[in-house]
Amino acid sequence: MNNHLRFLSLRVRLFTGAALISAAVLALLAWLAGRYASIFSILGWGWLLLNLIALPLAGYYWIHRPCCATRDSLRRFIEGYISVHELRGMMAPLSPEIEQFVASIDGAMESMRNLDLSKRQAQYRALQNQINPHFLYNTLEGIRSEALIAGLDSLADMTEALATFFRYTISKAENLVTVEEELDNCRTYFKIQQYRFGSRLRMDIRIDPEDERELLGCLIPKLTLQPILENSIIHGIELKLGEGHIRIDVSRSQRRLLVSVRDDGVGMGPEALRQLNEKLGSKEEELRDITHEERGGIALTNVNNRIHLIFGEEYGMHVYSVEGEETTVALTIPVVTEESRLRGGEGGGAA
Amino acid sequence: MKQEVLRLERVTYRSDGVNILDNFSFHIVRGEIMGLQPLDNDGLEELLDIIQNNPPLYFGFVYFMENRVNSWRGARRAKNRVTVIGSQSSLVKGMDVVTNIFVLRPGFRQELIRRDLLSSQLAPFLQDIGVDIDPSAPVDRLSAFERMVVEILRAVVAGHHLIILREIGSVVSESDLEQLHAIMRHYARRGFAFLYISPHYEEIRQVCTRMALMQGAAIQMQREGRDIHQPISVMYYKDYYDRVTQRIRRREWTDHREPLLEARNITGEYLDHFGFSLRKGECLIIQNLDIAIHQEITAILSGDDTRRDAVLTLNGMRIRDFRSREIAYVREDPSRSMIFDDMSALENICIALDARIPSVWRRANVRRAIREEYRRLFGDDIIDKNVDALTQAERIRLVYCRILFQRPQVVFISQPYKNADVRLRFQIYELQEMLLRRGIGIVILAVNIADGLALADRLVRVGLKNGRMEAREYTKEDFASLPLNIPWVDVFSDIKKDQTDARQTIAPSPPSRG
Repeated sequence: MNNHLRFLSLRVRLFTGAALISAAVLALLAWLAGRYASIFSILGWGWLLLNLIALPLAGYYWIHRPCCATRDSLRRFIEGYISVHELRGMMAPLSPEIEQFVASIDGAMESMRNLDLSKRQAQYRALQNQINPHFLYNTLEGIRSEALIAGLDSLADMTEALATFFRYTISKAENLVTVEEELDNCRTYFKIQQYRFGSRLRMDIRIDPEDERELLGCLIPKLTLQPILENSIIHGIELKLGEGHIRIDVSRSQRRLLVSVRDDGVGMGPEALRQLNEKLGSKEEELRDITHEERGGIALTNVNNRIHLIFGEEYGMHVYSVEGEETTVALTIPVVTEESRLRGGEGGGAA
Repeated sequence: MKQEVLRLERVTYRSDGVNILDNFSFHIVRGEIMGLQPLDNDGLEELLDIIQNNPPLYFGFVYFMENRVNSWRGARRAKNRVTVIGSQSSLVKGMDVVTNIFVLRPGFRQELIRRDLLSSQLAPFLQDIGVDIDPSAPVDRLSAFERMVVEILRAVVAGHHLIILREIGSVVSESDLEQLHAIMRHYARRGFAFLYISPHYEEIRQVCTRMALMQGAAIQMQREGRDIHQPISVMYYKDYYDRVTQRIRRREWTDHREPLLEARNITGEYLDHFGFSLRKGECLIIQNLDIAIHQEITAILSGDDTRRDAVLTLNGMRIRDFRSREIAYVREDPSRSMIFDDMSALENICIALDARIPSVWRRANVRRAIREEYRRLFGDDIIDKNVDALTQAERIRLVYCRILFQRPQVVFISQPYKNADVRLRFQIYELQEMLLRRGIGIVILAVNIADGLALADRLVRVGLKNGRMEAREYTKEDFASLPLNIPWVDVFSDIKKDQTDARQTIAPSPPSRG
């Protein structure tokens, strides 16, 4: 019975029943008081007083407050602040049927998410099968050798960088990698881009010297930093006239790993910035990722969703930007040094 | 390893169904002086409320000393250990310094208050920061600088890890501000964190180790270390800075205007035979480097304190005091102090016109003309609205409009840019420029020059040296020699350099010897 009392409909029924019984008792006491003795009058007033206190209190704490909390949770869900799963935990269900209904929507969403993950994994496997990594690396190695023989050192270096980048992106199956590996991948990616941009593009990586060794060993989701770096180059520096500078800062607090990627590219206006941060924080966007087919590579939202999925909603990224000046993507994730310590870490999206 | 004193993670704060802060993320670490430059006042009050009081959030998380203290799922009701120091004192009046610092803090358990012991406990703190304050002095008698030092010490003694200083530059002089910055650095080295809120980039640059730019209730940008000093940062003022710079460059500077006001022999507790002169359409700034001087000079010029021995001449005629229809006075925070509540905007304007148009209340055509003139000048139609419904910017416009219609010859303005965001500062600048264009002389009375210099023709800096008044006048040619942390000084330096270059180009080349 107690378990059933969480349903608002049952509470309302019980409350109404209690109010009716109370009124009936009051009427009976009034009748008895008029007919027999004043003791019933005292009892009647006492009963009335008790009900005047107890019923509003019960109504407020038992019905009104859960209703308001449910309304607020629904509002947050509609506006994209929380997911269906979080909504299930927050709202007081109206009836068992509505609870089942929300559970089935959550289940359907979960299935869609799993389906999407399976699809992504299948695509990834298909890509791996299509492009046999060994075949790819051997071919790139062949190109590199030919380039070296022909005296084209820069082409050889470029091919080597490309092979390293592909090896990291395609071959490594781990979900979490060390900051050092991610930064190495960023350096490789930057090297490839430098062949395109030349001296127009500069990059610095600053690791807090106080905790350098520890920071490099921290774990982060694979392919977290490279998409942000790519974003900075494509949407920040490329559109700018003249030189561009990107700086990656890595530091930590007691519980958080703090990474920021700053570029002095074209930046964005306040409205575009607001929309981007809204998109990053929105749960609707997670849903959109699943339902929408077209996705232009691994975008910021994708990276952010993976962080939310692996580490929870208290972590993620935030973008700061001033038009014509700079853009900074600030990333916070918990300090994790052993993957086994991370519960449910494998639930993250495949790369 | 950094220790986060405060972190706001994707905070959405809603009031009356409207998102005031949306997806707001921000953090401060131990031992840093974080600058916050608000370009407008949107969301600033709410941000401070969230930092201090943990109100219910619509979404997001707040961490204090690395512990979650507030989230959208439910708040811890206790307040965070944060001190906010602003232009108004938060000390308990009528009590002395040691009582405010030691006795009134939570956790003070002694039944018997031993002032001598408390004074001796305070001495090392004061020695540490090199400040001499009488521990038994009532806080009401402290200068603004001393009051802020006492508030900082109170926060330090109470173990408040985060101290917020809000726009303190407008209430203390430059030298006091420098000393306050040194005190902040001292305590930052000891692990205290500061949030330094100021609309002036030059001030933030002086003291902060990291800074954030806030606009439209969102952090737009964060910078740290040497990046704060990059000249490109000035661009964040972009619109405002560019427009004012252009106007400074375009303005005609002439010293051949007719003399308008001359004040001599103003003497008081601190002022000693102080005097100044003003020409028609000229802007003079009297910068008071000591708050006591500022208080005295504003009291005299506003007419609250009449000095009979002062010699005042307006248009060559001797006048008794500054309370004259020819002289207007704009008080500090005019949007509050100079508006008659429960009246319409039109009534607020007409109330000062009785000297010019005696029957203004009976003549509908006059009021119609005022309405038309207001619309022509400012382009908006607020004239019939009740002043309670007006924004701060509209109220300030109304005050300046009233002065304009009153047609004084001289306007004294006290701290016009105090607590004004960038948008408002530009409006005030334009309003003052409008008065100057009409030949009205302006005297700006300020502790911190802030943006006034952009409009000034001359500057008089008045301070105390060894207890005696010392005044020095700067003409616009001398502005370039002022300290570089004062806004607009770099623009004047550029103008001076350009003028020197131009002179060198025009000057005939020396005859060749061959």
